[in-house]
Amino acid sequence: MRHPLHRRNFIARAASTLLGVHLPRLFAADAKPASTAKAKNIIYLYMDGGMSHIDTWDPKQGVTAGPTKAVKTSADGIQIAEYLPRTAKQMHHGSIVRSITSTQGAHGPGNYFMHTSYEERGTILHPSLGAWLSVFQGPGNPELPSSAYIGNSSRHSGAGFFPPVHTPLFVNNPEAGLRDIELPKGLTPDSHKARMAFAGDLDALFLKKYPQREVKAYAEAYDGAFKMMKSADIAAFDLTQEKKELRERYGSDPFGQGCLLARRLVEHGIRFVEVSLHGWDTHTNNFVGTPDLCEKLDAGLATLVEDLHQRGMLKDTLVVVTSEFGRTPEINVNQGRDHYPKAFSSALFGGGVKGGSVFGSTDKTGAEIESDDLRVPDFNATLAYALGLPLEQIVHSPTMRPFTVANKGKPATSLFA
Amino acid sequence: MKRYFFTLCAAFLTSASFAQNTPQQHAAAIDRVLEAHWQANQVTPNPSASDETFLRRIYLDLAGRIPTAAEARSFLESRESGKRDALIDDLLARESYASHFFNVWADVLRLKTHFVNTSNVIPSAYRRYIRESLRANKPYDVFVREMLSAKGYAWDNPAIGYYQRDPDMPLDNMALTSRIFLGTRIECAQCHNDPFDKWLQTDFYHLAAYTHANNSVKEAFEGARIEIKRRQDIIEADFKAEKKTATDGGKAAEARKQQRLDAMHYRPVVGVIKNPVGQLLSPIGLNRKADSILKLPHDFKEGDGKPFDVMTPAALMGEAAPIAAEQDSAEAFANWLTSPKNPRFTRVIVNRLWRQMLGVPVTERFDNLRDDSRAMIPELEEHLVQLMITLRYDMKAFLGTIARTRVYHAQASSEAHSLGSVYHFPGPLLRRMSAEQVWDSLVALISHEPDARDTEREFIDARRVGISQMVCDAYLAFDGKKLVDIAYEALGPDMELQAKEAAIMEEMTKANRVKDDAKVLTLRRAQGDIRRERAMKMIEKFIKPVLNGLAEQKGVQVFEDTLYKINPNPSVLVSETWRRMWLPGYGPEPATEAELKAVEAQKAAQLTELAQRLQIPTERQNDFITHTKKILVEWHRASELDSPAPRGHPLRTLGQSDRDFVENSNLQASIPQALMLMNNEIMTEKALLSPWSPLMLSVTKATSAEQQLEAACMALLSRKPTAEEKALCAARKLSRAEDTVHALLNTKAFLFIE
Repeated sequence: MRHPLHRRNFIARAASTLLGVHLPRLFAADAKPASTAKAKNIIYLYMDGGMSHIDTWDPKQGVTAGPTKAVKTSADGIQIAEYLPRTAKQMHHGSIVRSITSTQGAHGPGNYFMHTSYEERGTILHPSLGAWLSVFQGPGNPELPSSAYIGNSSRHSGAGFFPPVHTPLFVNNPEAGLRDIELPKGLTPDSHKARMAFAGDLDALFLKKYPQREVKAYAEAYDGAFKMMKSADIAAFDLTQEKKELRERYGSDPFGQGCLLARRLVEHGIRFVEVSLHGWDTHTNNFVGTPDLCEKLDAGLATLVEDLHQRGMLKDTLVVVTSEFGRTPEINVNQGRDHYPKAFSSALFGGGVKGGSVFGSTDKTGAEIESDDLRVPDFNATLAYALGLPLEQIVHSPTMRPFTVANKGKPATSLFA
Repeated sequence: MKRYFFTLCAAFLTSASFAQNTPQQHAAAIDRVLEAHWQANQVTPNPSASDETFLRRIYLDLAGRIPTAAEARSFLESRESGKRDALIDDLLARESYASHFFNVWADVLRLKTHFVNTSNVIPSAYRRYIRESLRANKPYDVFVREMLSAKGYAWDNPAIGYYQRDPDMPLDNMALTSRIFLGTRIECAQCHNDPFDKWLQTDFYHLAAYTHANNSVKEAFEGARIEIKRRQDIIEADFKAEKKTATDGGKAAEARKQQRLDAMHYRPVVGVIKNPVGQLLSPIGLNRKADSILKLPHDFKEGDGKPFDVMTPAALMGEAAPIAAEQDSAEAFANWLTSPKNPRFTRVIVNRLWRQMLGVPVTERFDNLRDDSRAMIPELEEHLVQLMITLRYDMKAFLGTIARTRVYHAQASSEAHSLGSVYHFPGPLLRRMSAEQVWDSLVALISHEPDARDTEREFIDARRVGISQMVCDAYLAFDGKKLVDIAYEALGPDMELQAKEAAIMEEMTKANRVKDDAKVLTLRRAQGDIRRERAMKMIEKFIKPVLNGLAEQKGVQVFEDTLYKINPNPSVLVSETWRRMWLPGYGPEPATEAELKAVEAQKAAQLTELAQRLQIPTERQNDFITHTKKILVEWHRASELDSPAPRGHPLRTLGQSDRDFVENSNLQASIPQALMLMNNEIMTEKALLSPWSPLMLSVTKATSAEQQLEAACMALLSRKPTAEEKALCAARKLSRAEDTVHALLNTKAFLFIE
């Protein structure tokens, strides 16, 4: 059966939707997550450039390891690389997936595939998981965008072929707050009010002359903007409301502060937040570069898991650490590792996963998957499953092509308790 | 037969006389078609639009921005009878026409300034090509034909940018080509027979076979590769010969072969040739793969063929498009697609341009045509198609004709048109300005040169193309053997330094393990020094000899542009060196310091003159000049900025396309737009509300609040305020000019085109 979200509906609805405000539920029947849902929110930590699995989640011995050593974690029998000491202490909350395999060995296509489950095509832009969540379940807080991306990559497929209302809010600098939310400097609220009141007077005349939905939509947009400017939830973007000690524990770099912002946004009802950490393309000096990046990841991730746990939010919030591919078991002449999509790792924390577990494995050099291989669509289906999204539901693009949330991937349900 | 002959003659005569018609006569003919339609359907057309409404509309439609207050006054105060005609011709002749339609086509063609991981040579050349084609008013069919038959290097044929928008994805590109130019969606048929339309997967493959040979040209050292292969082959042959006579089963021969191959340093020597060009040559052109054969995919499941069946080129509709002997198949394809006989080519462009002017096309889904897609007024569409053919696809003439029709001069309809119903075109639709129209209008309120081209950027783009051409020619100036010889000369010293660097890196790994941060830092510096040394050696031993070789061949001198600031990062130092070099014939000549100074002086003089013309008080002229100088550097029309503008830029907030998808711009209201129009820095004294902006200069001249409202209305809405508006303004007690202006900027009357 063709899904009712066909083009005509699509356009009509798109025209009346604004940044999450008064969003008609496109899927009234599916608006609620499936009863099997494990988590309400996802914080998606993306390691841009290709994180070396061997030097993080899947440490090895011997030549493959280079100088990298494995260390024990708080989970019995699980070892990770020494560069993530604080994360090691949180491992009882998490599960490591050591058997992901991708078909894409270049950054752009790999990144796209990991974010959308589809291979990059010139004729369509596929949505990212946050947009699917927004389409299926609506925004968590009608006064805020439904998802957010914190980082600087210009590659992000965002809403894909869905209407722009499902586009994530892009935050380049987590410490800068929300764009254009405050009155211009020097303008008093009273003056602003008077100006906008006069604009409103003229708009009423204009609307009388042109009683059209497109014109009315602007009145709604302005109402929404006024509401947002006064909204208590805007405080979510203000990191200065956090204790200095906690802010430092997250790490003072944009990634660490981004993790903190992610927690605050989730608290205020933004249900899918991605934080990106770039620089993992360690073709040279891998054993200097990877430890440096791990220091940032470790501070942000470990503090995030700990913080969420203390606030009782970890059970509802799935923290995902992933990347477009892993890196070669061989160490090249420049003390580096090259791209390796054949086998690599991700880690999941909270959100109903079996704490202190490992899913899948690679051989002793980290080159081949030995068990439970998980293709990229399967991995994303696992995340979608956690959110209770309907994996089988076919949605048509405006060009009438059929798509599903994780491209028919099979979720690894055994990851969850 | 006889009857047929007469019809043919009649058609020919009509079209011949038709061609000599004036734009006014062409417009009158359209009026007659519409008037007959109105009469038959008992439709009363909208009343005529006022001069004010027409003025704002025609500026936005042909110049892409609102008129400045001065432009508005000059038109409204004119008593000339033919002033509307004259304005249409004036606007069509301006640079702003090319700028505005560049944005329109950038949305359709998904034009990106930066391609990921490439030299950006092709996007730079292609961008300029589109702009120049529009400026020169290249006939639409020629424009499309050039793009669809293009091949060669970017500097010789910048139209290759069309195919290179989707490098090495000829199937996806074909699906989009069909959509863009024929309004025909065949993307479903790329993977299976279309369940909604008549297209078979084999139809798609037959069409795709025309352009399947398209191939990116990514380097200019094929000769060197062949030479290296030749040297390897010699070693292999020697080995085989030696093995035949060997007594030890070939062990010694095998060892000798390996030794010789190792001594060739295959990867490093290829690196010497390849690395210095970095991304300068990737890609630079488009050619056709020889003997390209398109086969059905391995998972082909339809009934009319088998997986791996060879697909020959065949047209999708209309007449056949055979490939003549020696003809490039892409050329045959381009000729077929752009022929007036193609049943959909002309239909699509007239709808696109009609929609551009009236807000709604004659066939609603003209970008998704099926055999049963009927125009809302078929005789109008047929007439427009004939007109376009008669005008020989002259887009300015066609737009100028629409701009003179009765419907264009009518008031906008108060009702919206709902998809699926028939719109009788009693007048244009109310439209929200495109993101670019809003931006360009803001620029006209902020900058005293609202339509200025960004010459600095144009220079950089042209230089980029010239540099790649120079590098390409420099490599091609040598035969493969010579190039490889030079590379080996450079390789020796480089390998010594590389060994030193490797030792440092090992040390660094050790130091990092014991957390000796101070030592790591020292070693990092040492590594940086070695890298710089390697780069300098490579420049001296490889780049200079190669470049000098080209200069010698051309009989010219290498010019070093010392004003170009080199990025000192050792990893780019080598490729940066090229950017500093110039040879005559390779892009624009870099300016000398004296020339730059002269330009600066000229600009300063112009600014002083502007200050005087605007009667800025002497004691404040410096202030004005400092501000305006900054504005002229920072504020340019959308067509001069990156395409798409970076995420978070007001253009994107206003709905500019991300250029990922055909016609992906949107005109929807959103909260970020409202926030931007109320609170963004643009709305402060840094830009719009600066006392020196053309907007504020025109408003602050007024002395009373009422006069200020009048001036603000003229600047932003191109009209005087009504009595009712004046009363409302007075009631709200807005006393300062900034208040009125900021309020008007946030009205729908500003954002929409009546």
